Amino acid sequence: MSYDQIPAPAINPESKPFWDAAAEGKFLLRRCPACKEAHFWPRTICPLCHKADTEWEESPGEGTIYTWTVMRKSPRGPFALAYLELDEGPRVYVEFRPEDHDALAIGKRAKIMFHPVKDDKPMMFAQLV
Amino acid sequence: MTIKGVASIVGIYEHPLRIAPDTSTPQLHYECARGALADAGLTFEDVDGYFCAGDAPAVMSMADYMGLTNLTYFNGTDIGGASYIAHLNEAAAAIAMGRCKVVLVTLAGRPRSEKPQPRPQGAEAGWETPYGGSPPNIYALAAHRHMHEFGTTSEQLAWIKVAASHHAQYNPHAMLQNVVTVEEVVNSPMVADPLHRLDCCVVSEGGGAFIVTTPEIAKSLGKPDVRLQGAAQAIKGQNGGKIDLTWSGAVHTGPKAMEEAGVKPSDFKYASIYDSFTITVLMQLEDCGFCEKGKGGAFVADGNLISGQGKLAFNTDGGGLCNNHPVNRGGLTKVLEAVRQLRGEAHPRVQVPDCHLAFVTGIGGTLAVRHGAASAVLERIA
Repeated sequence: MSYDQIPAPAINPESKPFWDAAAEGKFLLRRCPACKEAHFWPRTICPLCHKADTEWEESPGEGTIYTWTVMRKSPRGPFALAYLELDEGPRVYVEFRPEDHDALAIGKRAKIMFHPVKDDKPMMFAQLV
Repeated sequence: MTIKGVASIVGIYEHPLRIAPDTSTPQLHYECARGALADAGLTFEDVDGYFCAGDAPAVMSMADYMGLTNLTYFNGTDIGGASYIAHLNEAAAAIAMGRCKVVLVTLAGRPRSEKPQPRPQGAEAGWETPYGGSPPNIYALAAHRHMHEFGTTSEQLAWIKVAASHHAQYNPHAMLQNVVTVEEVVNSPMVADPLHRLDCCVVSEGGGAFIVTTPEIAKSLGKPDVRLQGAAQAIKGQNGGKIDLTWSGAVHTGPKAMEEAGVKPSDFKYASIYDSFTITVLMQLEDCGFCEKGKGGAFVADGNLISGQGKLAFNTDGGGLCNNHPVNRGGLTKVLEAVRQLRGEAHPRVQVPDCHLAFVTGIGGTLAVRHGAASAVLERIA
C-alpha cells in the first residue's frame, strides 16, 4: 500500500479548519453546545439535535476498534478499513495504516493519525496503540 | 392514506445478456422497456410515468431517447441498487394521486464494458472518498461486527450462496450455474475479511424493466393481477457517528410494508431479498422479522432458503449471487422474480406451489456507511 496513490481529501470552507489542524497533526471534533454531543464528520449545525451551531474542539483521537476489514487486493494493494469508536462517542470510518493489518481486532485500542497522501496533503488514518 | 391495492405490476422483462459489449446503456434501457411493455400488452404511447435511477442517463435524456412524449410524471430517486423497489412505492403513490396511470421503470448498464460513473458525493467526501472503499469491504465491516456480537459464522453465511446456487442451476441465463457447497464458499479466496469471493454477487451487464398501473387497467389487459399491498423506504447513514452496524434500514421498511399490507413474516413462502453479499440477506431477514435479531445465521443454515426444501424460498432465479446483478444494482431483478413467482412463471423446479404472496426487500448504497432500504409486499389477486 502506497500512500501517494491515495487522492488528497476534498476540502471546502466548512471543512477547512479540520484539514488545517490536520496539517499540524491535530485531530478536531465538533461538539454541540445544546446537546453536548460530539459528532463526526464535522458539521456546522448539530446533526444530532439540530438546535445549535457546533464548536471545534481538539481530541486525542483515541478509542477502540468497533469493526474492521482488510481488502486483500486493490489497485493500491491491500488496505484496512475500520470504524474506530472514539472515547468521546462517535464511531469514525477510517483506514488503518498497513503496519497494523495483521493485528487488527475488535475491541483493541487505537488512535487517529495523519499521513501525507498525493500532493503531500494530510489524510486521516488510524494506528494501534 | 395508503398505497395498499392502488397499483398492479402488469409487465416485466429481464434482459438476457450478462455481458453486452456491442450495445449502449440507453439502448439497453430501451430494449428492457420494450420487453416489459410487450409483456403487459401496452405501448410506449400508453406510458405517462417514467422512473429511472443513477444507472440511467438523466430522466430527461432517457425520456427523449425513448421518445416518451406523453409523460405527466417522472422520478429519478436513487438509493443505489434498491432504487427500483422504492420506485414501486413512489409509482403507487403517484398513481393514487392521479398524476399518471402507466409507469415504466427501467434499469440497465454495462459495468464490464464501460467505466461506471462515480457516485455523486456530499460533504462526507473528504473523510471517505480518498480511501476508495468499495462495496465488498464496506459490507464486510457490517459482517464482522455481526459475527462479533452474535457469533454468526462464515459457514452460516455460506448457506445463503449455496441456496442461490441451487436455484441458479435451473436458470439458463445465470452467470454461475454450478451448485456450490458450504466448503467451497468458505474456501474461496478472502476478498475482504470476513467475506470470501463466493459471499459476493456477480458483476453483470444487461438490465430489466417493469410496468406499474391501476388495477382497472391491469384487469383490462387480461394479465395476472400482481397487486402492491404495502411499501416503505428509508435511509440509514452514520448519524453523526452513532452508527450501529447490527441493523439496516430494512428494520424500518420491512415491518412498515408488512403492516400496510396486513401481513406478517410467517405468511410468506417466497421472498426476493437483495443479495449484493451474503451478509446483506442475513441482515434483511433479521430486520424484516423473519427471525430474531442475531439469529439469522441459524435461520439460513441447512438449506432453509432453498425452494422445496426450506421454510422460505428466496431469489429463485439465482439472485445477484449467481444469476445477474446489472450495473451493480440488484433491486429491479428482485421485483421481477417475485412477479414470476406470483404468476406461477418461475422455473418449475423452483416455483413455490400456489405462491400468492411475495416479499421484496433491498439495500442500496453501502450497508456500513450509508444506504437506502426499500421493501414491498406483492399479492396475486385472483
